[in-house]
Amino acid sequence: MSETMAAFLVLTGLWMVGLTNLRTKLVVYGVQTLALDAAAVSIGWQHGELALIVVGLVSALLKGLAVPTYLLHLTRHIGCRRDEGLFIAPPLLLLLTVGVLSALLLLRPMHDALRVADLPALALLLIGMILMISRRMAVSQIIGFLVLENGIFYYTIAQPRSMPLLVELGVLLELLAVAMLAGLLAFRINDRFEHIDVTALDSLRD
Amino acid sequence: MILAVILLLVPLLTLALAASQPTIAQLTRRAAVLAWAHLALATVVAVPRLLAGGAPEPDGVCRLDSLAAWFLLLTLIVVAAALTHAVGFFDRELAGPHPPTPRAVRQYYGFTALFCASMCLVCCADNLGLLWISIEATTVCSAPLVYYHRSRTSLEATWKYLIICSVGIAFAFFGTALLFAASQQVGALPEGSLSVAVLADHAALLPVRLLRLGFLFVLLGYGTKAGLYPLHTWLPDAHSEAPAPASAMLSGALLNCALIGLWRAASILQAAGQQRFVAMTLLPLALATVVAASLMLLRQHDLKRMLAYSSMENVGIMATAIALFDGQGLALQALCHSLAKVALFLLAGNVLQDYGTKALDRVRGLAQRRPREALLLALAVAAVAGTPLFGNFLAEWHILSQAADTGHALVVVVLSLALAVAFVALAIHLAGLLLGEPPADLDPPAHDASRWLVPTALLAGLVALGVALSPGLLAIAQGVGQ
Amino acid sequence: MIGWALYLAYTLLLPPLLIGLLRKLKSRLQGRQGPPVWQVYRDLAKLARKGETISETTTWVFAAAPSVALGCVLVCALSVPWLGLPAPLHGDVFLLVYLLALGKFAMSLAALDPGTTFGALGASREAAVGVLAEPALVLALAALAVQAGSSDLAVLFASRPGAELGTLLPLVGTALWLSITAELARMPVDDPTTHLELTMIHEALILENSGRNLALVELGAGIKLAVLFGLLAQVLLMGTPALAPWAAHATSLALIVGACAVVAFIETVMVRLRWRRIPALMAFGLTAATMACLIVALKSEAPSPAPDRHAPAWHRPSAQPSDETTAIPPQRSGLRPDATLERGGPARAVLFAPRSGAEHV
Repeated sequence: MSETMAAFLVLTGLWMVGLTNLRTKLVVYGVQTLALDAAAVSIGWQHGELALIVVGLVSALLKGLAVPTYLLHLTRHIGCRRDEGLFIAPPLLLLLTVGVLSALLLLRPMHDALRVADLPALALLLIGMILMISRRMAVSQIIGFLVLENGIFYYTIAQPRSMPLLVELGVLLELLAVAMLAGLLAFRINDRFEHIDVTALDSLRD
Repeated sequence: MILAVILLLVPLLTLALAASQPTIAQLTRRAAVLAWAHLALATVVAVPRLLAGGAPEPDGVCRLDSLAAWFLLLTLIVVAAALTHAVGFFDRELAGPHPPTPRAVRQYYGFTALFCASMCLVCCADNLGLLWISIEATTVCSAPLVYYHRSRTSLEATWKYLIICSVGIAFAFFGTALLFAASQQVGALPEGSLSVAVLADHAALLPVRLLRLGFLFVLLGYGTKAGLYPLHTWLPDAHSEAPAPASAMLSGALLNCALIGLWRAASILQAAGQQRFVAMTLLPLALATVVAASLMLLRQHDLKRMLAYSSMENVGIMATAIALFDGQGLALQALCHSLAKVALFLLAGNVLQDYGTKALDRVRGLAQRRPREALLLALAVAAVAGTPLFGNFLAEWHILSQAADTGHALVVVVLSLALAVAFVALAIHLAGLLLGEPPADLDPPAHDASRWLVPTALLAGLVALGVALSPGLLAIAQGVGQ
Repeated sequence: MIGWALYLAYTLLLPPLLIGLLRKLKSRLQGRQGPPVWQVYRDLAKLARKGETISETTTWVFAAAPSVALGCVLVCALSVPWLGLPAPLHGDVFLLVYLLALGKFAMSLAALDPGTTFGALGASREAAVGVLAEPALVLALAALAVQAGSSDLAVLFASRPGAELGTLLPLVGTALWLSITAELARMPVDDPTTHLELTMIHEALILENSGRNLALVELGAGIKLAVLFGLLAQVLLMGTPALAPWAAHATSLALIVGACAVVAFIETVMVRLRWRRIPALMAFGLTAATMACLIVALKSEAPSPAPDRHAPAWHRPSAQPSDETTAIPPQRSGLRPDATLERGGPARAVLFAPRSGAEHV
């Protein structure tokens, strides 16, 4: 089941790359995170690891529900529906993404360090980066960051032993704090600039 | 126990103060007192460790080894200095043309307390996970400090700071996860471990490729936070937009924290016999940082951005020390740079309050208007630029000679050239600042000891370090690298 | 012989029923009564009886194209084991793709032949969608073919990669579904019920056809639907243990009907995408298929001898860097839940990783 989940995670990530509707994107992100947490809980259940189950549940609550709800509220408040400001058209971007992901083939010499099972994590990491680079809306940058983080979380749960509970919970808390803080800043950017296009933030330079 | 008190209780008290004090004046004063109490407590714990050297038995979470003790003290000195200066700073802010709201100042102090707590935690963390959490916490807690002025530019700086550092540090977490995965392949550690001490003990058994990959990601992450060259873009923005006491803490304490993260990861690789790999990856980045920063120094138009690039240059030097596994050089350079840079940022804050601008071409005639501060500024710039007489010179000399001893001739050449360029750049800008006629439309200068007290004390400390760097301190610094 | 009879019977009789079923389901979902399930048979019979109206400017191409297209689809239907039973002809992934393309090519030529505006419009759009959809189909099937080590469809669908299919199936399934929707001119790519010529794709293509000619086209479209959904059913069946022929057959039929139900549902809840959005959708399918190929490529490169015999080759613990004989902890088969590996070592602490002082000096 978790292999299917891995493919599902990558698929939802790719879907987000092609999406131009901000709210749909947030919903897809929420679904992705919930799927990831379901995978964590199921792995924890199979191996009797209470820590993973707890982390999965907390993460589902915070990252899967609270953060998307908050960001949806934010987009509704700001009135920003479309994920405008793509540097590249979505179809081309998707193909470029495939090109970037193909670079994972270069990891062949690393086969004793990275297992094939870790590749979905790396793919999600790259997809998160692409989501961040290709979009100009503040909210989509936050989403990109969160997808990147999902990739890392997937890596930790795919290992024979997952991270200690306190570390995972601390990481979750930090993520929540970053997402909330970035959301607040997005509100302020909207107040000041009357949009949330972060490429307009260019007055500080040398 | 005492460690927990130092780490958490005092900042929490400050937090409570920020919420409960009736007036801002009381808040700033009591927070300063608390900061000194914090430092005193830390001294009680850290000085014996520094004198004894070595490290206590690790418990997998926190460990106050010599390095931790050194940087804990340094961090708290910086915080205490910044908060002491902040008393006068906020008095002047409140009396100034754009007084902040009490709520903004309370928030500022609340986040300062959390920021301080997270930095202390970075110093003492032995667990790579805890280290990551606390470094990320420093980002989250200091971003509101950068946003203090509530202006468009500070908003921009805060956004860049938060997003760039968070993404960078996310990579560091991936690196941490890789190192954890590596530890699971050691038979003696069936559960894996995140403890730096344990990992270093078992370093010879760790799979090399995973270890290297993990280090690369950690370097990418904490390197972003430290402001290494291609990833430094947030640094000048955040440092220049934050209010003076916050800039001082960012430059004097936060950058050190990121470097501690790098040092911890590098020490695991050192234990695994991967010194060459660390040098190969970290040295180019460090040198690029020094070179880029000194070139950027030449074309600065903003006083605080200039100081920020100077911090970046010093980070490059310290990263060189890490790449050479020169713990002594790292410790000395961090100490001297922090003291000098805190003094500089505090003085720059005064200039900004005085002239209402930090544009280098509009600040003129400081020597005529405020001779005492002009002298302090000149001395502090001289210190940061690595002039003999100050500790910075000795620290940089130490690192250069270490590089020469280990056969890194290129490093010596590049570093010396970059330092010379930086020296010239700083001197040119400083001359413009001090000389000339002050603008006529300024109010007559008011005399206020709180403007120069803290910088004077810091510079006196630096001179003391430079003139008589006692063998005792050198021995302690030597112990830090062990 | 039985295979021939069975496949021919199914090919000629099942598709109208499927289309009727789809329309009925869709009507009921939309709260309408809808035509009876058998209506499509009657429509086809009626069309076959009626005379044709053919433009005077057409050539033999227009007359022959529907037969060519139907022929292509028929060969597909006889060479793809879409019923879960061995097909009478030996099918191949690439043969399938080329036959589908050839059919479409013939129909596009026929649409251009009368020289009408809408025919040309439909032809160009159909070609554009085809160009976007075909790579996904090819790559998705190619991923499976590489996995199975053969592009022969019979061999491909008989292979049971087991756990390794877990990652592939969602990717290949998505890519196939998207390209099949495009191939069948269904929503969200095309709206089969539209009456507005400007928005038509496939319907504009066959606007000029009438009578027996149209009956052939409609029958061909129906067969294509049955075969492609049958193909998808076979891909899904690869995820199950090998079934008895009758069970595989019954499941295939059920899956085909299920796919029709899904289409009916989608066409009820969704609208057709704007023309500009279609490339993104198709690129998504292509991306998913490419990911599938990438995973197959990477898996095939993982060295085979696994230190842990419980773990499949691509999920082995990493090799040790040196010849140190440290015990490798049993892997938690994070990606293989069906494996019941015993967990080695003491119970795992849930707080910070513990450290017993005895181990370290």
